[in-house]
Parts: sequence; structure tokens; C-alpha cells
Amino acid sequence: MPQLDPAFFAPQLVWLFISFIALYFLLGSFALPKIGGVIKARQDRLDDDLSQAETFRQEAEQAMADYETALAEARSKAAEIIQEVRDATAAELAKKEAELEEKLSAQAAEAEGRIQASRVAALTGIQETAEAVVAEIVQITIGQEVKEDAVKKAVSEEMNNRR
Amino acid sequence: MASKSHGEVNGQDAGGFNVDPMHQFEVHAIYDLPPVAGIDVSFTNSSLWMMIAVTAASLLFIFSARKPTLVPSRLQSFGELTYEFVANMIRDNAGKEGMKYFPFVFTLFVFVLFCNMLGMIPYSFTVTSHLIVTFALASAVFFLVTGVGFIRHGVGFLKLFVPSGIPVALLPLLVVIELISYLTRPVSLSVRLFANMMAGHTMLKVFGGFAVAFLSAGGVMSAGAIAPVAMMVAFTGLEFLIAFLQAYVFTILTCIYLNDAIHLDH
Repeated sequence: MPQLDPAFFAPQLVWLFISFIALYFLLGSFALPKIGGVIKARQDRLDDDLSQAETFRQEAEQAMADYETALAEARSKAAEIIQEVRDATAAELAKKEAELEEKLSAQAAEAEGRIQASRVAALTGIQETAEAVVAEIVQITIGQEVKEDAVKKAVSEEMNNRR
Repeated sequence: MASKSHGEVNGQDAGGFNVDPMHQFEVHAIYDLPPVAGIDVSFTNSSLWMMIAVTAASLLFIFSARKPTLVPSRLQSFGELTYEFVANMIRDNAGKEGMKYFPFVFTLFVFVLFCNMLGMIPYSFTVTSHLIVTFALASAVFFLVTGVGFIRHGVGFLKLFVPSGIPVALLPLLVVIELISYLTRPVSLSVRLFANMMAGHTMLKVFGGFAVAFLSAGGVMSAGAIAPVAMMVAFTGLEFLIAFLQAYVFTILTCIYLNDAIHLDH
């Protein structure tokens, strides 16, 4: 087995030492820091992007919450305005109704008064006519003038009895 | 397939069918350098493939991060996936504190992976098929882990060898067992990688030898070469899997050992 020939142990060890140290130096000072740097830079970039995405997501959520609050506010405000308008309309309606009623009742009262007056006037006219008629009839019947007071009294008594 | 032709060349060179499956593991000097402080530092084919692995890995990973984009290109993706793969391995097995040793673990993984993978190229040399290399790597892990343990916990690190909740009578036995299992870690770690790489490559070469033998027989016998070639195709796929898997196993065991040293829990 050539592996067991001690004549070539020394040169192999010497060159192994030289080449291993050389590789260690070349990789350790040129290749590895750079490769490591690139990997780290990529990781940083990824972390950055992820955290930025997280920020954006939170912002979007905040905007959504704001929008919902605004919407709820607007809704309650609208309901308030509707209630106000409704109340105002109802109040005005009630006022107008009252006014109309007052006017109508005033007119009714006036009409009643007029009716009452015409009625009184009519009754008075009937009584006077009746008195004149009675006085005339009595005069014709008994040929004697009757006292006006007596006729008046009799007619009003009779009218009151008939009424 | 190319290994087969490799075998053919060998076979013809040898003037027969005696393809030596161990020939591929031979180390030979390409440049004889003068010894430094009495140590032979010759530039061998092993050194060459270590250098190729280092160059290929460095270029690949440095270029993968040259023009980084947010959405990675293919090369960048390769670099980042490997980075994340090793980083996750450490984080899962040794915790966040283990990330301190990330450059070392990453280098270890890449070095073993590239040596294993480059060994799959026909005519190449598999650096990790040599026990001395894997043992050196495993020893480095062993000393790092031991050092980390003593630096973090001081003498308290020795508690690693004393399992909790065990009757006192059993302690001497168990401490010895724990100690042996700890000390044999570099052996098991290195032999696992070395044996896997060597066995796979040897097997490929043996089947290649069969194919050459069938072909050399000529005539109807040549058709018989189909069987070993089919086996080689299948085993080549398996070898790629093993090349990755052994690099992974080597690294994950390093992470587990680091976890022991960092957290001291059983």
C-alpha cells in the first residue's frame, strides 16, 4: 500500500499544512465575509419589507376603523336630524290645528249668536204680531178696545205655556 | 469509462492484465525541492492536487460573492447554499457559540469535499485516500476541540470523561472507556474518510481491470466486458455520493466534537 510509505509522509504533511492554511486564509478573509454579508443583507431586506408590510397593514386597519366610526357618527347624526324635523313638523301641525279649531269655534259661536238673535227677533216679531192680532180680534169680537198691557200679558203667558 | 482506458494503458504497459489497483495511490515527486530543516518538502502529485483543490475552491467561492445580487445567480447560489449548509450544521450540532469556529469548519468541509470530488476525475490523485493526510486533518480537529475545551472550561473540561448519574463503583471503568473513546476520535475520524476513499477507488480500478481482461481475451469474450463496465458506471455514481457524504460526515463529527467541548454535557 503506497499509503504506508513513510518516505512521502513529510512532503504530504508540509503541503497539506500550506494548502489548508492558504484555503483558510483565502476563504476566511475574502469569500466568507462577503457571502455572509450578502445573506445578512438579504435577511435584513426581508425583515425590513415584512415590518413595512406590517406597518401598512396596521395603517389600513386604522383607516378601516376610522371609516367605520365616521359612518356610525353620520348615521346617528342623520337619525337626530330626522327626529328633529319630525318633532318640528308635529309641533307646527298641532299649532295650526289649534288655530284652526279656535277660528272655527269662534265662527260657530258667532253663528250661534246670530241664530239666537234672529230667533229672539223672530219670537219678538211673532209676539207683537200675535198681540196686534189678538187686540184686533178681541176688538172685533167684543167691540171694545182692550188694554194693551192685558193683551201683552195674556199673549206672553199663552206663548210661554205653548213653548 | 476513462478509468477503464487508464487500466488498459496500465495493462498494456505491464504487458498483460495485471492491473495494479493500488498504482493510483502512489505518490511521486514532481519537483524535488531541497529539504528545509531536514524535512523533505518535495512538490508531489499529492501537493499538486491539494493546490488544485485550494485554487478551485477559492476561485469558486470568491467569484460566487463577486457581484452579489438580491436574487442570487447560479454561482452565487452555490456559494450561499454551501455557506448556509455548513452554518446550519454548526448551529444545529454545536449551537450558536460554535459559529466562532465557522471559518475553520467551512474550510475543513470544502477542503475534504474538493479533494474527494477532484479524486473522481480520471487520472487524478485523491489526496484524501492517504491516511497521513486524513489523520493530520483529524488531529487538527482533535487538538482544536481539546484546546477549545480547556480554554472554555479549564480543568473542568475533564468532567467530559466522568459521566453523570453513574454508580461510583463503575466510575473508574467508565472514565477509562470515555478517555479511550475520546483519544481514538482522530483515529476513527481519519480512518473512516481514508478507508472510504481508498476502497471506492480501488474497487473501480479492480472492475476496470476485469473489463481490460475481457477485452484482451478478444472474440466472444470481449462482450463480457459489458458487465464490469456497467458495474463501474453504477459505482462511479455511488462514489460521487460517498465523496460528498464522507466530507459531510467528517464535518458533522467535527461539529459534534466541538459541541462536547463547548457545552460539556453528556
